[in-house]
Amino acid sequence: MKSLKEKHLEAIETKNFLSSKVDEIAKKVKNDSTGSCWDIEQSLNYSYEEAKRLDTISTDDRAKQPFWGLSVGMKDLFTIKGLKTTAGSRILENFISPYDSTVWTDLKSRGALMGAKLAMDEFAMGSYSNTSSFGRVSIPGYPEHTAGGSSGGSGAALAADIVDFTVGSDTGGSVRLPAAFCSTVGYKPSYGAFSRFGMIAYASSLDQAGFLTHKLEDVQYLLDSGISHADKNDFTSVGIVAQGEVKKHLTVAYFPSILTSSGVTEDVKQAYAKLIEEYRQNKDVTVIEVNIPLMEKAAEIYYVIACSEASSNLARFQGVYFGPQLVEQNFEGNYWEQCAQYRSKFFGAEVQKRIMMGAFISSSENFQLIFGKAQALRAEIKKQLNEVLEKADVIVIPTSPSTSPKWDDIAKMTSVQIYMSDFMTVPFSLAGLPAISMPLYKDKNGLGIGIQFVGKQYKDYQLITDTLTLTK
Amino acid sequence: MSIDLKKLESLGCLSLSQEQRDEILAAVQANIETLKSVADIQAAPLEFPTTGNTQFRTGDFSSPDKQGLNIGDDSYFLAPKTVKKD
Repeated sequence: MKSLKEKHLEAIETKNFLSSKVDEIAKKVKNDSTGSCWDIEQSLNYSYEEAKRLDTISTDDRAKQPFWGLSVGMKDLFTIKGLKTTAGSRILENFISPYDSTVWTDLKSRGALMGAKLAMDEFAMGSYSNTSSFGRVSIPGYPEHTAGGSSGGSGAALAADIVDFTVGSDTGGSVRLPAAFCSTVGYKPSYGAFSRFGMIAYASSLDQAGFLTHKLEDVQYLLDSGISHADKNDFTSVGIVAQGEVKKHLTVAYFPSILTSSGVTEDVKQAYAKLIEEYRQNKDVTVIEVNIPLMEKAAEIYYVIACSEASSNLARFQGVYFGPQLVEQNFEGNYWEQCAQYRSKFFGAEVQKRIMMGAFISSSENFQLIFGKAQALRAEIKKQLNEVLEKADVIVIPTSPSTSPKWDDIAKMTSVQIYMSDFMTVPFSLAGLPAISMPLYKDKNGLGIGIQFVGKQYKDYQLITDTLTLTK
Repeated sequence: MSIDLKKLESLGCLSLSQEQRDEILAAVQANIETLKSVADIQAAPLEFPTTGNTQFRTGDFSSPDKQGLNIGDDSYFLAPKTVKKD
């Protein structure tokens, strides 16, 4: 598999390269059975128009645009001017964005070709790509298994090689889980590394754009292009500097409790134990054991905060500003009753659940007791993880407690079980730390086992450099 | 702590149909029971982290109180005013 840089350099000299590349994408999308791509006809029309424009750029100028010749798949919550952006919800089924998100603007201005709009869980609320209003997403070659969520389309489209790289969003693991299940690299940047402007919000203090690639060097290539920067449209964006040093010796922190946890499958435990043993045998790596009991409660803390923020963020969808117009529907009752009927008609079940949980937590009697406590615990988790990262260069932990489950098994799980299965990814989201899921192992059925590498906040490039050393 | 699901439906500005009601309300009830356990965790202080750095990264926010804004607290949004570039 060629790197993004190699593909870019190869493409520069070829005449009408991108127009024929869209032909190839169209063929692959037509043959794709995972459900990864949405709004296919409109997306392809857009891609052909963009390809025509990009093909007219001179060879010299192509070389100055690091993504020229590369196609990217965008999760359907990044706004692209003139294209439908649904966030997987019927409430935005016909929403045509009047502006570009910052992430897309940055990719486009560096020559990237938008190859596909990608499937996702409704408003990014899901771990298994099964909550969308428009269909679920499976792993290429494994139709009975979920591609993971919420950026399932981003994982499956990359694994099927429809596009060269994909963009997803990660609130509590939504880039890392699909990456682990689809055997790709998944990069969740530090909170603030990328602007959230034009990214439809789920939980604003946790949402972060992320990237899925075939190789870790490709993530490095993305950051080298300068796409991480502060954005005047998002006051939480700070950007990171693409600079890291190759260290001769690395200290790795691991969680021995994972190896005895009843919530983790044997395949995952064996893979984790094997990796740690390899590091122990490596004279250039020191392994230290860590234990943060509070991490066992990270999923509960995460859902308290995420649902509260979601309940607030989704209040804007009431049939006036976005989506099918309230006045065109035949609802009965006063304005508020009509809004309530509208929201229950167009929001899916998972979204409604989280809105109600958020409403409960945000109510005056529970706000300080539950939400306030969760915020304090979040700060405590962040403090404890930062203390670990003072002693270690990298934290290493599996991405998911299991490989991709089957659809039938997911249907039998309660939502509490589904939420709690996020316990390996959410601690680092709560702390705003960068994390990379690496496709290091497979189980006996060939399903991917991802291992996360976590580094210090805003030291994303150093984390990539260290992870390259630890996985070569 | 009792859970009035009808009230939650109203607070969330929702109006569940009968077929949605059974599935959604049962799940909400179970999830809230789980999330409530956060209040019992003794590992952290109870104070809500509203103090500390309430300054912003960009713009003329030298006096956050004057701006009527105080949501830039580091411990809340995790994005400090300035980042040391390495």
